[in-house]
Amino acid sequence: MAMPIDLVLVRHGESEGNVANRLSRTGDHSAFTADFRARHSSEWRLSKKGQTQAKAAAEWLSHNLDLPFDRHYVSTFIRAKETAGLLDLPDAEWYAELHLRERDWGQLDVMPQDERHSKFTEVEQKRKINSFYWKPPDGESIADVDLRLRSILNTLHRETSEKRVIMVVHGELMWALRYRLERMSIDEWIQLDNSKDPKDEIHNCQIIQYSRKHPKTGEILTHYNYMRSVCPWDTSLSSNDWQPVDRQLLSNSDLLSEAGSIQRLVNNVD
Amino acid sequence: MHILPTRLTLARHGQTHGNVFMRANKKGEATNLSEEEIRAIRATHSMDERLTDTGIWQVQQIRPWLVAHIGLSYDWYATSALPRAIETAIALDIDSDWLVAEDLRERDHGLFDRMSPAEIAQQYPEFARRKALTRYFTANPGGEGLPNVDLRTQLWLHGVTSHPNDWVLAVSHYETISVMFKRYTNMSHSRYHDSQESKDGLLDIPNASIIDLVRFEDPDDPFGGTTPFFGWYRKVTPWDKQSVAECRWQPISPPFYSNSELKRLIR
Repeated sequence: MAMPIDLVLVRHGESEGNVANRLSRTGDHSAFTADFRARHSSEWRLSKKGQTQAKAAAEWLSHNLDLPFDRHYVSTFIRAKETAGLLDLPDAEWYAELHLRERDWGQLDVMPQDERHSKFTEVEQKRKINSFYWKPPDGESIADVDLRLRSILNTLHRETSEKRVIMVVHGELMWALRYRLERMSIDEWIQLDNSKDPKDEIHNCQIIQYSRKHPKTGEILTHYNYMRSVCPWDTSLSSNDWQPVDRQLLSNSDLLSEAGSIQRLVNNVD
Repeated sequence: MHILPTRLTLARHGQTHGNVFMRANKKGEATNLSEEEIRAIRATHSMDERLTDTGIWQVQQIRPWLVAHIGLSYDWYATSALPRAIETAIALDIDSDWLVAEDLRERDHGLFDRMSPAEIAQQYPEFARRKALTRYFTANPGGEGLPNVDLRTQLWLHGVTSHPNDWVLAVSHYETISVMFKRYTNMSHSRYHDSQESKDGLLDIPNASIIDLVRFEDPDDPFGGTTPFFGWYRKVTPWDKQSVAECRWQPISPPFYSNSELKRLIR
């Protein structure tokens, strides 16, 4: 048994929440109306732009992949379902899977930036120390998300070895999948998370494809040794080409070198 | 390879002192419990609850119903590791080994253990506000959210089922059973929330009730064809004659949607 031959991840299109948060980061908190705050983030719809992005993703998929897929998964959240419906994939029967929902932001969910900064100053500081392990109050860390993703990856491994699978999901979830599927170090993950290069971002409707098929020779490999990442509505924002996936194993000296790179603050002087 | 059992029967433990106390506490009613008993309950964690005499009588009614309607030919008998579930398993008087599974324990209520909804609303208004938006995703401070219960029960079921045709009987708890029921009947989280808010009965699982899910094409024919997912369920409270009389198989919709069904969900 192995993972599917191809695993294609698609982030949902721009949502009401994306728009509200983007405006809020510039100091405009007007989108956080009482009605908006009285709704859970699982019910956010796509914006008009988000719908256009989803149609661009549909276009890219139809031109660059052999359709249909053998299995279709979608997060249980509305913005992912709306995106999946707009992809209009042939013969699609979508499994709505709870484990593919977005990371739970707990008490920080549906909250304008100024309120986050004033109410959760210490929490935000902790996030800067280590964004991988950091957990919002009553929410989930990326490490927590990784745990639930392993459940769905086990299912894929068991049921879809020789097949091709698509999942319409969320940004944080795709970051957690990248960590697991590329066997990144936590440091690499944090560097990418902090990167300001648009080509390192997972934009709305970004498509990330993992493949066990060698992109040139067509040879079927045992692992996902290749991936490509495409922003279908503006390919200048993404790397687009096939990249090798280097899942590293660590030697003893790698381990010691990593430990040595951290300054020791407390020591036993006896 | 699908590894869901062909039959999953979930049994809730019988009534405990904690159930009596919490039921009265929720409604603000007096109980038959003495002051001393109430103090003793407040001083313990809900994980340590034992069955009342009524609870023992309730669970004794489960076995005859199982014998009459299903038979005792399960491949796996499992119980939550909490005392009230183990007492329930003992009362079933099954001549077989039991798996004792931590993953079938009740949801951890964290700081809210032993607190009534009114006390929670008064002391934790921000939590009450978020819970009103979504019961399913709002985690208890210092405790578990229901998605975590979903994760551990699903991993447990995948781990225990060694053969796709296995039958599994599991003794567990209200919130844990309700989450498994939600997953395997493909209930949306908004439906779960609405049902809890409206008390429409879908999520009523009284003490010593059974939820029986099957992957048989014909729910009454275990030797016929099977489906990849649970296609039927029935719910019954064997100590309640009306519930027994009204018990019927209910169909479960398949867990997937076409493009047009997705679009209809949005509308």
